[in-house]
Amino acid sequence: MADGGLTSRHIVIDPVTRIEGHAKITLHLDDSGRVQDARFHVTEFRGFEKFCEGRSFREMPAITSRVCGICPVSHLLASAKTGDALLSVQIPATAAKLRRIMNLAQIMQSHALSFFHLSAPDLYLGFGGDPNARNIFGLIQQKPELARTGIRLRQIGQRIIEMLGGKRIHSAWAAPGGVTHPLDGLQRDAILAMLPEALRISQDVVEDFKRQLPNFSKEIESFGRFPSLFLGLVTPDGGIEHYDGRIRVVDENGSIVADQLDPAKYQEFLAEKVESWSYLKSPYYRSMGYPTGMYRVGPLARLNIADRCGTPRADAEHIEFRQHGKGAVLSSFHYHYARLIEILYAVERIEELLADSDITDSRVMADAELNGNEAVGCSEAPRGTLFHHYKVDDNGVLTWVDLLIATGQNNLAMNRTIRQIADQFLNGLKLNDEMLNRIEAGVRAFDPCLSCSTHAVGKMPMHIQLIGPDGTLVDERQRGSGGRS
Amino acid sequence: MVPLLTRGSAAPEAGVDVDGHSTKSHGPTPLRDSREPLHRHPLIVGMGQELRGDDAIGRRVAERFATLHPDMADVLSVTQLTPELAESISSASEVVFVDAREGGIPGNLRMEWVALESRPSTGLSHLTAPEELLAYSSGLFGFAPDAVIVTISGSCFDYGTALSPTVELAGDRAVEAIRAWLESRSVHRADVSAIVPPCPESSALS
Repeated sequence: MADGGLTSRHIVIDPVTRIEGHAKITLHLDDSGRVQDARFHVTEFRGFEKFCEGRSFREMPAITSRVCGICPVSHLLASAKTGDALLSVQIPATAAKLRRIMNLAQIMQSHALSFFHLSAPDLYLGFGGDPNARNIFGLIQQKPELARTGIRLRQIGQRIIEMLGGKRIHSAWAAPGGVTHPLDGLQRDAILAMLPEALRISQDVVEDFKRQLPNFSKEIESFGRFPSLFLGLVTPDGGIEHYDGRIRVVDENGSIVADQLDPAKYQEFLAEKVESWSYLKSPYYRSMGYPTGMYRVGPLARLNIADRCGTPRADAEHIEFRQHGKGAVLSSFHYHYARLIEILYAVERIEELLADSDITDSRVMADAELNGNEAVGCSEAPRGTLFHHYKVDDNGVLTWVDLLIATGQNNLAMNRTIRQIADQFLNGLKLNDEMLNRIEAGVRAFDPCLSCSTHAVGKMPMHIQLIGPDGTLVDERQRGSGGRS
Repeated sequence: MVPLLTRGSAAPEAGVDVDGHSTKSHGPTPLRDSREPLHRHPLIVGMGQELRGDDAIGRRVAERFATLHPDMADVLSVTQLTPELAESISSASEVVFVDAREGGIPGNLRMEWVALESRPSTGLSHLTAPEELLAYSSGLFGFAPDAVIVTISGSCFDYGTALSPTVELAGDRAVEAIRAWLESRSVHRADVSAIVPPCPESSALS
């Protein structure tokens, strides 16, 4: 591991769980004991890009949807869209609407997992508590209805995906040219029947969260509250967009830096920095250079770049949300808030799309042959903008693949967030639970997903080390056991 | 780890292994819920990443079990555990989780009780642990069935869809171990560790 010329003390936090890649956090202190830098290391090599080479582009939706157990739909859709571009086809309007519904259902269920399962114990049981009690068990005991509604939202999202795709996850239903089968009237009605409950839950949770916000003033101030760019897709008139659209970039003042950029030309406006200490690439906005071009993607960014949501309840919440910033809403803590508004939006938008008269049209696939050798597909995954970029030979066999994932795009901002939290809560050279809890929670606000790794049992407890200037171990902490031994 | 949502006494309970020897189980006492419906079925949940070599063995075992013994259990094959599975679990008579394990002799097979215990937060993970699913099941849906986890030590977790031969063979033994355990459940509650077919050193190391 390269230390980048940093001196003095390093605090190493190794919060790796049993499955999701090998990640750790190091805090780099200067001679005065203040946090000079923080790094969220990902040492699990993402080899899927190489793995895909030599395969047909038509296989890619099915393959890439297996990359991640949490957001399979995101890869499925980005891959299918890349395939559309390689075919040079405009897919049937109904197919595009069905894909859009599936993407929104995915956002609903993924956000529910992030908020209710991962972050709710922090938010409702307190950041300073014993981690043995500040977990989902504690939440079930103290807030059973909240835990239950979280599961219910996930079930509804998963059920919609299943009704569209035939399988709950890893469906190859979206394919280059459209989707493999249409939605029938009974399925449409079954989805519509679930939406009132989802709407009620999402409205209640937003209201409850807003009531809780005054309790989190310290966290709002310290959890990644800093200027940055925000990037994501918008509609042609600047509305929120999750499936299609073009790229908008805004700055911390909420001013538009760039608009209606073609996602297919992402390499013209984004560059990727590769650090020796992480396999996670660190993209930045090219024209501002590294690291000034740091940007955030995901729910917070989407609500910061969009002029409106376009559905009545989400629009009202969006207006209120934007009051939390003078320009853009800067605190990464508000990723949670934005996530809840996006769930509300997803429910409303799905209902609108299902009301379209052609939603059960049987024409959902465009037939075409390969008409290009390079293409980019882009959509908004729950965690942010996702790019798939393929090069193929004349037989459609992949010769090069680049997957630019949301967690990578938030990498620089996550590091900045960790540094800010550690700087505020580190007291001396002793690791304390309160700081560690908050660092974990700060990272969780971004909902990073490293699910591309293995799931083998018996891997990696949370390991924290404090190493002095001479390399000796000053302090060390271990939290729990991620698996069995 | 702190016992939290109890399901009956936590004291070890006397049992009998397949050879008729008196034993003690090593996990929490399984709960028999008085509200248990008559038609609960066993549930097998195989998990793993299908593109990471031996990590997929849990799923392959579950799928093979479904093929060989289609009437014996409901089967789920998933990339990773997620909270909404708790509802299916709460409807099952017992649950067998099947997963790959890093470390140990490749092909080595273990079967252990899954305790209904509090575990520290999983930090940054989207992974739901079997223990958490049981807690969801009990706390939110009123019933947590007895559960075991079968793990198979993997050999290669590189990118690819093939299992290593040793691990694939161990998968057959895992199917048999699960069948034997489920059958034993209908007769008596036996010590689970005694039911796992022996793993000869020679085959485990091959």
